[in-house]
Amino acid sequence: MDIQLHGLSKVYRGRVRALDQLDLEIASGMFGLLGPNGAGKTTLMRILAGILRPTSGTVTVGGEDCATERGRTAIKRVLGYLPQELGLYPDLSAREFLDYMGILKGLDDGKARGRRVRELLDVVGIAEVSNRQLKTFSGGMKRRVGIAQALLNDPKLLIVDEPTAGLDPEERIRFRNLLAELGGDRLVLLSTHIVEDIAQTCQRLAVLAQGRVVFQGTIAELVGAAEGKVWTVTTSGGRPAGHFDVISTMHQGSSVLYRVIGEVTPGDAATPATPNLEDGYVWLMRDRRASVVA
Amino acid sequence: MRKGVTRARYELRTLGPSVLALPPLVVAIFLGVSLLAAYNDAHVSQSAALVHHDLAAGVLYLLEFGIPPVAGLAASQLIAHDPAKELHLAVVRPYRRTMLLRLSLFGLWTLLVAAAVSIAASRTGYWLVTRQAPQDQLTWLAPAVWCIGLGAVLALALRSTVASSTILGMLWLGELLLRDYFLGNAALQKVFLFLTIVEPQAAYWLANRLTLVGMGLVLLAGTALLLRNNEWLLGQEA
Amino acid sequence: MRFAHVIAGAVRYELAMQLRRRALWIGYLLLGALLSAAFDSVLRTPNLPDSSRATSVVSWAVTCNFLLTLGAGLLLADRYRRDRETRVFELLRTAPAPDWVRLGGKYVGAVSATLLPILIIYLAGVARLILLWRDATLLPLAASAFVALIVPPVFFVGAFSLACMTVLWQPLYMFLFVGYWLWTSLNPTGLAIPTLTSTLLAPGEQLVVTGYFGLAAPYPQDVGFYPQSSAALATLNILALLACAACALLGGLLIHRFLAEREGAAG
Repeated sequence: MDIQLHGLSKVYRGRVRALDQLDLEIASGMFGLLGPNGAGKTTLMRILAGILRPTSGTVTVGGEDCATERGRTAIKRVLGYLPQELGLYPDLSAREFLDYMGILKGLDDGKARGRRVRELLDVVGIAEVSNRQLKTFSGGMKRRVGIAQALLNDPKLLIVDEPTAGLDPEERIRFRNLLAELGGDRLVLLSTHIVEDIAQTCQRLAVLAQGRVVFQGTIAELVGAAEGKVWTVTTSGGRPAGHFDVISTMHQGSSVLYRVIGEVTPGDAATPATPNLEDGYVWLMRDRRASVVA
Repeated sequence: MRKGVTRARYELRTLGPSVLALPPLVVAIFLGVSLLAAYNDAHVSQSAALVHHDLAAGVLYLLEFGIPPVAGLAASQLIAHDPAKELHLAVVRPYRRTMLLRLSLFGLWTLLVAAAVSIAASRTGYWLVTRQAPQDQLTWLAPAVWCIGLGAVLALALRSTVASSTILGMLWLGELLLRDYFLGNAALQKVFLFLTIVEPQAAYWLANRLTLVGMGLVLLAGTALLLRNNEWLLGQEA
Repeated sequence: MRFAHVIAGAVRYELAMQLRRRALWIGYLLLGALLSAAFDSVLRTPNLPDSSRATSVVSWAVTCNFLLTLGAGLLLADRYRRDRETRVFELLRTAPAPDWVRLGGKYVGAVSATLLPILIIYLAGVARLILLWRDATLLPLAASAFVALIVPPVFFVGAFSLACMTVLWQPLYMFLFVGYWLWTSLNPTGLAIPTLTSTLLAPGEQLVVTGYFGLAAPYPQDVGFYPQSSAALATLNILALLACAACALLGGLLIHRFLAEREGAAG
């Protein structure tokens, strides 16, 4: 399973250009998608899921053309999709909802579908409450139902948009591991603002901004871009002087510890820090803004 | 067959008990008002004929005046308000077929309720419609199809149950208020919703009913077309 | 007043949000077109002499009230629920101003915005009459008819639309509201049932038509408690409507607080 995008553009109602001449190749395994709000991540995911049609360019998923109805239907047969805004039917129980979604996904054998539903209820950890109506579920529990429905048809392509939103840290780790296990011969496309989720599960990622790919490569490459650009500085309270971005601020009694990123060291008191993926992302966006201004 | 029954059961569940309760609720309210009027007349005039007329008129008003707009309100609710829309758009079964199935199931339920009332009324002598069966069922069927079609297409076009219900309600009441205008115009006569109540012996009654059914079907076709536009479906309220 | 600026802000933004709704304008445009096409038919209401210019202006106001105010009640039905559906409700509850300030501003702003298209349609009809007779002296009468016959009922139905939606399901409320509107505005079936038509609580304001503007009652039989209206009764009618609106808003506020407390307790 792979995804090939060439010159992909999406324009809404002739005005809003959500995607602009996107070129991207995604192979099997875990692939992360990062980017600021409005970058076009959700639009891209909806096109890959066959929900929206591209305005121009070519999109092939597992060899199927997303521009045709036939292609989109073929993709949906092997697709598992978890949208960012997950809507559920409040009067159905979790079990009933999954059974219903199974029917919609073409799982016509009632017994096999029932087995699959029970299996997934156990996997996501809501078997004990599966007969309760969804309107009684917390946000995290609803998210688990969402993940379960995405896995119903054992998809070859799994597109998940903010899958761990609303989950507590333990649940988040659990689902991260679940998604990582699903990688391999599947293609799992993970879009999230939680950089740590991508860092812990993906080998490769792309960063979108204003409808374009501004980075495509490995986690190590993006982290490496920030090498030598990250420092920690402790001050008595005020922000350290200099031209840099503050990544984190931590009050420690009478002093404040800043983690900053910039071209030059913010002073003698600064200590070089080992960059992480978040630092790499911030450096990329900073560098991009500087290029635009220039 | 079993898969179809299971599917239909789930679609009815997604409609929710509130939508399904509307047609019987309308029946209860209209018949309740008729019984109240009949009771008052029974005590004041003590005329059995007047009491009989109150009840029969209540049935007629229920079928031509009450059920159609309520069916339209419910149709706009079920079309515009689907919390799992995006999930539906990403599955193999086309969303428009799912929505049309829901609309059909609700239409069938409304049909059953209305038909039961009309058949019961005609068998017990409380049926004021002078048309022959089965044409007489167009009394409620024609305006119901029209209202359901209008409610559904407006709900999709405006992406709002309130907006579509408001326009449907205002047009429905507008026809009532402007009945002289509608009946005095050869073209508008054909789309007057309350013809059986206002002019039961009109020569163009059948043409009027068939026009309403035809318009309703065209509106439903428009609904089906709008259901193919995923970008529109995912947009915000007008 | 302590919260004057908050109320003013709430009014301003609720007004803007309601005015920006395309559905508001599409709905009233359709209805305006229908009324325009049927204008002559509209002005010929039963029991009103059709030679009087004043009669025409007032009956136009009565018609606009009957039809357009119904639309107002329906279009305002989602204003309360919308805060929950857009998930801004929880955020608004953390603001320092009390709920009544925000809800009061929502009421005034949303209802005022809904009055605007009604005013436009009404003025279009008035303009047509003025041009027909070339008589601009009708303007003060038209203005007073709008203020007396349309504004109070719109605020009346707006209050109930906001208040009832704290507890009722939207389609059910709309159905009941239309039924109520018919029940209080006219008795089309002639059924022998109690009715609010021509009483102090009638938003159709038959008492105002006869009491302020001296026109004959629209219905041959006196179905209300007051066989002959007067300016005093007409004023009482308007005040009764506004008092009911205030009670509805108070009731809605209390229910809103109860529901919010219950949600807070549930965590």
